[in-house]
Amino acid sequence: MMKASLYKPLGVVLLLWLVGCTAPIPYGGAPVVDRSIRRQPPPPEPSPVEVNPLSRPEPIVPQEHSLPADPTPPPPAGAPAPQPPGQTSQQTNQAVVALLDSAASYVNAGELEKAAAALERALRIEPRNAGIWHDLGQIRLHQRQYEQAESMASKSNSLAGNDRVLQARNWRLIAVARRAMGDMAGADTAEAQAVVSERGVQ
Amino acid sequence: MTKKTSRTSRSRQRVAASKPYSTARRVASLLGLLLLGGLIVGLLALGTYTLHLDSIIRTQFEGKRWALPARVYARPLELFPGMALSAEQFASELALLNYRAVETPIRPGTYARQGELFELTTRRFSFWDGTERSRRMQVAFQGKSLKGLSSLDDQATPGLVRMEPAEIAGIYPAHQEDRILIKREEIPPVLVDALLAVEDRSFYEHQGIDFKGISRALIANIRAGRTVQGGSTLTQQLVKNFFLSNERTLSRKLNEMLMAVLIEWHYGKDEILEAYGNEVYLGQDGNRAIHGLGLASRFYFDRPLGDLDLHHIALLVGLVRGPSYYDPRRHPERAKQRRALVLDVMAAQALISPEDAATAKQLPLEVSPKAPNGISRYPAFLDLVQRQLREDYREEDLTSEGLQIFTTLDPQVQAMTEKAIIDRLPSLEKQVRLDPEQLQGAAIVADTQSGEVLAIVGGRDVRLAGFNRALDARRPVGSMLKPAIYLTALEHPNLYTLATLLDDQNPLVYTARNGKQWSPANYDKRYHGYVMLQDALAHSYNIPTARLGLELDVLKVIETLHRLGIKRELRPLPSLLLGAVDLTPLELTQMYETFASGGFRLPLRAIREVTAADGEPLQRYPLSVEKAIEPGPAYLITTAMQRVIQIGTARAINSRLSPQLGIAGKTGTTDDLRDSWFAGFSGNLLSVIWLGRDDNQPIRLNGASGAMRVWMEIMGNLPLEPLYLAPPPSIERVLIDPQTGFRADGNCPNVQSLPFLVGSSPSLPAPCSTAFFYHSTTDYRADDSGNHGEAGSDHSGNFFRRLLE
Repeated sequence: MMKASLYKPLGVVLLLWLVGCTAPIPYGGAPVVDRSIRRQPPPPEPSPVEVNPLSRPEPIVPQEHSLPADPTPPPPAGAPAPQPPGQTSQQTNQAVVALLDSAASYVNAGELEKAAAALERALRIEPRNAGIWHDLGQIRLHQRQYEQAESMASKSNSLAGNDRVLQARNWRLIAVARRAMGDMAGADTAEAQAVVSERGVQ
Repeated sequence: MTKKTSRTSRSRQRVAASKPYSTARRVASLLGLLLLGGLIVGLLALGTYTLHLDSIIRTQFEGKRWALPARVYARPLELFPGMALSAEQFASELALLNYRAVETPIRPGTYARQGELFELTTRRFSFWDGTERSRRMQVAFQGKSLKGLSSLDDQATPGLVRMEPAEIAGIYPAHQEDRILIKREEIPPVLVDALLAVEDRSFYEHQGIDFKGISRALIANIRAGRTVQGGSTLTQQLVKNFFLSNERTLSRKLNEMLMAVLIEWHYGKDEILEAYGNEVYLGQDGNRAIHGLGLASRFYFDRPLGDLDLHHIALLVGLVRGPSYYDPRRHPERAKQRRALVLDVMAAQALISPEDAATAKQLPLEVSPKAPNGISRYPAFLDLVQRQLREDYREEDLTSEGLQIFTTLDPQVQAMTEKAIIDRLPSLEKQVRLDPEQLQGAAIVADTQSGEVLAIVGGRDVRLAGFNRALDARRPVGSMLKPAIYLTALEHPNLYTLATLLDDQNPLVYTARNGKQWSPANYDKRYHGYVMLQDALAHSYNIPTARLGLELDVLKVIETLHRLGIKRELRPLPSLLLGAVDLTPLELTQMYETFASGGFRLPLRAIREVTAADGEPLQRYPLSVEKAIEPGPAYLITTAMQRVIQIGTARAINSRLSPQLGIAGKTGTTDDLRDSWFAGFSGNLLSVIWLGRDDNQPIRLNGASGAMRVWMEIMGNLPLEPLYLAPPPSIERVLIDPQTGFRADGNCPNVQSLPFLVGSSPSLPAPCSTAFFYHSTTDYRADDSGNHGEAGSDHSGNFFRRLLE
């Protein structure tokens, strides 16, 4: 059973990796961007992105059930967006937790598409869970589907409510994706947004 | 021809033989040589022929053995505590999966129910991303939700159980041969015993041909005076099924024997048995030939092979000899006698006890009443699946490679949608005195957050695979495009807000470049004065909408429509603003999906993934999103569409659905009441409905009295989640006086709190507010009090907007 913890996105570490790695794409040329939903993501090829640093995705909803002894669980990483009744029930979390666990193990095994599928299953249960959308964005970034990565992060932001930590992460992700697509100005804007969000945290 | 020549040559030899002795000897030695040569040539020919047969056999065995139709599955039901699922719904899902109610549900595919408590054993199923093992578990429901899951076997209680998906269709090749592939180890041992006892007792001893069996059959047949027993081994039967026609000739028989020996030479008994189990012909369903034990088990008993009991197995084995003669559906008595015979043989061979045989004989045939049709129960949905598949696969691959297609169909939602169409259309016809069976309809239900299509109905005969109105009926859309016009306006916050007053006071006359005049009227043929933008949409007023669209420019509106997901090319005519555009229900669903998802374009998907026959993943159709509307305007337009239900044309929805759900939607009606549309969404589900007649005659129903009633019937029965809108940071709320659209305060008798993009809210105070007295001396109401007669329509609209700026 997982511990109640602050939201740890799929790859804070990964992100650092990416920031470090994607900027100078070693073999130049346009990055592979798969616009089509019908096609498999590009096969794993020499990638500037390492898969290993991905950590287990975790739900952003409060994990009250995981702390039975503690009547007042610590606040989650920022207030979650208000959820319709039923969605935040602890049992619902159980199912999502199970799926996020399997997403994490797929990530560790380097099976990113399976991880994405597990996250999609989790989203079917909690479609308004901004954290899962962020995780999915991370996976797409990893797979160098930059447009999807950016869109997922935008979607996550649209559901993030007052969770400024998550918002900042989403903006960072957007910045990395834009930079990889060659949109330097857009990346800077996103970076600036991330800073604004972070300021709000303090 | 060849025969004739040989006869002549032989007669010539005879002539030669009557010649003197020495000549005769010479001729004899020549003849010997010839014979020897012939023998060698013959042997060579036989060898070549054998090699030829051999290669045929090996290709068949080692290459692709069977053309396998693609199998199409519904979405798998995922069970988890807290989900919205009632005991009744679960029971119907189990029925769909052919689970059987038994006392002790130990075998996969069985369950026991006590009120809201279920005990069941699930079937193992391999998905592309992993295998769900068979589980014995308890599932408890309370009212409309699943209360708890608990494991009854040694596996840990899972947080989530993915049930196996229901198979909803096959995609067949032209010759309609169908089978479900099975592996040797999947054939129950009793079945193998029974099969060998009846068809080929020395299967494990012979080398393809059973000479003892042949002589035994021969004696039996001579005694009976007709053919009562066959001497063919299973291997020979397999050859017959695989390669040969049904003609009874000696050469065919010899071929069969030769090939049987070759097969035995190359392959083990288990491989032969597996091939036989998949090839044996066991029945006919219209054009569809039922091959193999796996499909036959489904076809006759509606359950997988592993779930069969002794009496089923005996019947199946009995059918090998004559699937049509012993057809248990058409000739139940014959079938029963045949089954008894098989059971007797088994008992005689001590494969089963006489008691078991006696018991099994007493049991009913238990053949499922109606053969599961090879054609899908869900033709309209399948149509969309096939179209999406055709973009990526060749027809040939779909019908022969045994692909497994995992779709997004939710059978529960589909059932509700079908029921609403089936029930509602006749009652609507009665209500407006239409001739019966004239009204047609289409319905689509999609998930708002994933773009997955959950249900499609293409006409009132929901099983008919004919004209699919949901995908192919292009009809005028009426007011369905209005939200796109209002969105375009709201994306210009310096010009338009929800509170902007629009002119529905003065007639609108538009003169096109060619001199033609266009003068739209409101549905109620009245004018409503100056109305706030949000109310003009809520009440679907045509005049202010057309005026707004013209101010914005039709091209801008078309751009928005494309951004929302309409791919079709649209002609930039002013009449487009009032819906003189023909679109299909599916196209409108795509457009409304963008609203329902909060401004993200989600391609509507009917397929999740495709795997090869062996389960290897081939392709995934992943969730894909693309931002189409900025969060601020998306929030505003959704709020405005919620107002359609709160106070507008769709307010009757509140009689059926809780206002707490915050449903957003839009009605649509076309000229002379020919088409009735409704699109509406909750937090989780979007549904779009069209009603009309195929001959395009009036149906006397508008959007609210027709399509919306069907929508209410569908959505009222589905687990809806509230449409929750988190205002993005770019949104602020301001109190507004609805009379003037200006800033109000506590002093005003009637105020509304409206959302605005930050910086776009009206700065001027409303006359009712305290602030008003300290503000400008402008007479805000000048226009209301009279002189609008001479003011051109555009002028008064601009007058108010200028004030706001």
